[in-house]
Amino acid sequence: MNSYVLDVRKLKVDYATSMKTIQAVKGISFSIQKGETLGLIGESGSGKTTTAMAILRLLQNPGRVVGGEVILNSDIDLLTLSERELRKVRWTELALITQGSMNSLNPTMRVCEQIADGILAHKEMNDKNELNEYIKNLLKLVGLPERVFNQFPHELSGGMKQRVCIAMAASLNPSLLIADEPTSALDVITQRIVAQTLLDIKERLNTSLLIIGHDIGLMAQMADRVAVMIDGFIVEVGTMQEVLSSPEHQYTQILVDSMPSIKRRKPLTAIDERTRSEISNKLCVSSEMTEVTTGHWVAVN
Amino acid sequence: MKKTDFVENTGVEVLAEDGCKKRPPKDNPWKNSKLIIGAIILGILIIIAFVGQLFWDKTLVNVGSSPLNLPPVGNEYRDQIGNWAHPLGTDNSGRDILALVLVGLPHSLGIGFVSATIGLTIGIIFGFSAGYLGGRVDDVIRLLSDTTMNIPALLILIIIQSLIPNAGFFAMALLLAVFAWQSPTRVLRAQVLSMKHADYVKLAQLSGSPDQEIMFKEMMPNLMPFLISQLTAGTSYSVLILVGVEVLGLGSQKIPSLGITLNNAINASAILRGMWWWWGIPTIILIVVFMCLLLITVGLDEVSNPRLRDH
Amino acid sequence: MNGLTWKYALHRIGIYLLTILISITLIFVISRAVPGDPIENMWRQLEMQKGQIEGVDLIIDHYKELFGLNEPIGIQYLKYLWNTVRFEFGVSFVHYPTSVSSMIGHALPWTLGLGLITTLIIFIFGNGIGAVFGWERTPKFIKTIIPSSLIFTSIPSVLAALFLLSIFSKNLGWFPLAGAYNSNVTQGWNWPYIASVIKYGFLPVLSILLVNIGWTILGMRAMVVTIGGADYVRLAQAKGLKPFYILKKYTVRNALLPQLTSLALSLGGLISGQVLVESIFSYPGMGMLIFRAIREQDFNVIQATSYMFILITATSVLLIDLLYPLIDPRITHGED
Repeated sequence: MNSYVLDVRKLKVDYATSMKTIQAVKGISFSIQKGETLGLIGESGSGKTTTAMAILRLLQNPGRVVGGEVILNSDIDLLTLSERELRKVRWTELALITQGSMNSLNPTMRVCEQIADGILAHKEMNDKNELNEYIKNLLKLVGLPERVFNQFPHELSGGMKQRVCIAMAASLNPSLLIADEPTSALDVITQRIVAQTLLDIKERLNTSLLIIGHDIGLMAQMADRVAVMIDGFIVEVGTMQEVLSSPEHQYTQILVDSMPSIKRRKPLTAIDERTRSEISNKLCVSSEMTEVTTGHWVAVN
Repeated sequence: MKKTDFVENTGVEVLAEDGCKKRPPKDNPWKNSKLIIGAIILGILIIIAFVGQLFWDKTLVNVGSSPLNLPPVGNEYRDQIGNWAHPLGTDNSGRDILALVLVGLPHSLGIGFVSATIGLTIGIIFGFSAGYLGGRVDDVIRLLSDTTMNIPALLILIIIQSLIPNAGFFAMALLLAVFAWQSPTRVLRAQVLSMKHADYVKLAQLSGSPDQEIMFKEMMPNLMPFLISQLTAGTSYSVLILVGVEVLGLGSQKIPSLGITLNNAINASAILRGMWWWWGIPTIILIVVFMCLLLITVGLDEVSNPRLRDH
Repeated sequence: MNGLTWKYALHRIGIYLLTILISITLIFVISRAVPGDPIENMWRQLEMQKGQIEGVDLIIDHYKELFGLNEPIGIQYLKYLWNTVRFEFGVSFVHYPTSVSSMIGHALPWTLGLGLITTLIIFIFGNGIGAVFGWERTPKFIKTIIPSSLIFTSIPSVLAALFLLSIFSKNLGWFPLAGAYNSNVTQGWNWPYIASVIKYGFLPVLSILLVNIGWTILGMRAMVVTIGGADYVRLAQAKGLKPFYILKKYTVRNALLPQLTSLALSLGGLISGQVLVESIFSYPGMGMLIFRAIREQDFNVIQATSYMFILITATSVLLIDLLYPLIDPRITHGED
């Protein structure tokens, strides 16, 4: 039937503050095929990170999933797993790469220890040497020198820290990697290195990858398919090429248009509040999507 | 679609999609319960002390002015019954406890407050200079502060007091202030450092305001509640050391203070003899004072730092 | 690779030595600032209280010798400095010819023992309880116990001591009224002795403990809550690690470091409090020594013991300062 690694259906996430309830994700659906890279793109606040956290069940107070389903590997209903079952699935099937350079690594633990505990939580590896070799291989895989093994996070540069995070996430060969803004906090050159590393790993392990970001230029080089989000809605989904060359939805068009081009001088385009509210309100009425061409879906509004 | 309990430990009810739960926001940060309760109780105590001195005979603090070993009203102790002439009882030298409290409380609190004020003033000058000017000035001030910070004030004061036993009000306040400036300096320096890089300060600099003006017109207003909390914290600290020195037996014997009263009680084995009012009443008064000061300090901290409120 | 570099260690030791130097100088200046010959002053005051003292000339001469009082003030200072550093404190006036050092020597172990036990309990239990209160997985009903009870942290330990002594020793008779151990028991590594030490030390430890542990609990709770929201903790959860393991190795490990700094800062207050608590409980430590010396106007003992307390405080702070970089891999030099 379908070899979906991830199937998200009508996911809804709310943030309930003392003043009012904010609907961060308003019933989105998308899927990722085996071995595919899906890019989730949108502005800050569009709900993309919330989506990722909801899938991983890492939402923090006051966020809460209030509707929808998330199916992993066609047979694991992520949202209804017990805590124990969830822990078994985490890292072995589902791994996270965040903006590592900031604060994702434990400052008081050596790199080897941090990678090791993820592995040992799920796999029996009594031979210490075997474990160390395994970790050293992982580091080699992401292009890090062997000395990193014993170092502490503060001794590493931003790009190196990020690659450690990638190595960690890859350590148990998960079915799905979720990378949340993996290159956003890095300079352009390092971005390139990290992005490349990520793609390499993905190819080698043949995992599926969900990349979340806001840089459509970078996304274009990394993703097979892309989903565009605004204000908690998905407005367009399709192959990278199609969406870029013939964006159907008004918002996607603005987004694509905003990409800087070295070929011609474009006037600065930005989306003004009125336009965004218009788009958002129309979607509130109905966020249904139709298939324009095979595999290319657009919100009717 | 199953609606099961998705997120562990959030304790937030699932709300309908267009549900709206409104709670009026706490507008005025000064309406802090801790601050108000602490201030009111302390205020009451101070007023009672001052008003009381007008109505109650102050000479009753002197030795031999009253019957000996009298318990408080309604109590019996060794064939003596408490009476309203000395509602809180007397000690073994004939001093009236109520008079001691009425005179002693403002005395101790006063010294503590004056000392804290001096300490804070020094702290403001040093802290601002160190934080704003940086460089050499900062190094010197920090060195001074670091080295003297770890010297326990109590011990130095013990030495001083043992050699100069009859220090007056202001002398004591000054001595205590020597140990009260390090904390405000440190803390203010940190505040100034973090504010220095704040945008509104940079704007003021860009528009050409002189340094002092920036310090006082831009930074100070924001620091107001914080500064007052440093004052109450400092008062608490100074009173603590003062009482400590007095309880050990050092301190001016001329002015009856709460600490000296406690020392007399201890030396006369008041606990063993069961004269609980002698040491108990000054103790409770002191405890209430300290608690109030703490409430005010914490309350003011919450006023000045929104992140501390109601987490 | 740990962060305890020579640069950092020397910097800290430098501050330490400077602190000690300032303290000694301060004491010296104060004692000389009082008009008149300091020794004459001392025995004159003593005489006023006690009447004629036997052999006072001998004492005076001994001191003048020891502290070089016949020499210029600069030499006096140096001699004083040299003597103090060697723990050469001279002789007690009131208990002549007992040397002050020997009096301190007898009292020191009790003070150190009391202080060490109390500090350890406060740190271990305070941070433990604080971590539990701050952990998101702790049931709510446990968490609601806290805030109001922490107002008791404002009570000075000496006042708590008075209450405890009165209620539990005098009224209920559960604990003894004075001393460090039952004098009927022989000292040494035997159970009756150890049990008696525990019994006699219980209330003093409790007095200091009750009022100081609150700060530690509050501080740790705040740290655990803050760190619990950090990215690396979230990632640890994403890794499917067991919750208690995360608490131990990710949250608490990082929260303990600032708590160690707080401990160093609060040591001065703890020790000052101990001076008073020992006095109330007649616990034969250095606090009691000072208390008695004040009553007897034994100035030499007062000064020497005060200095010892300052030394202990400064040394403890130094030890913690040096310990910190061994635990926190991020510190490499004097800057916090």
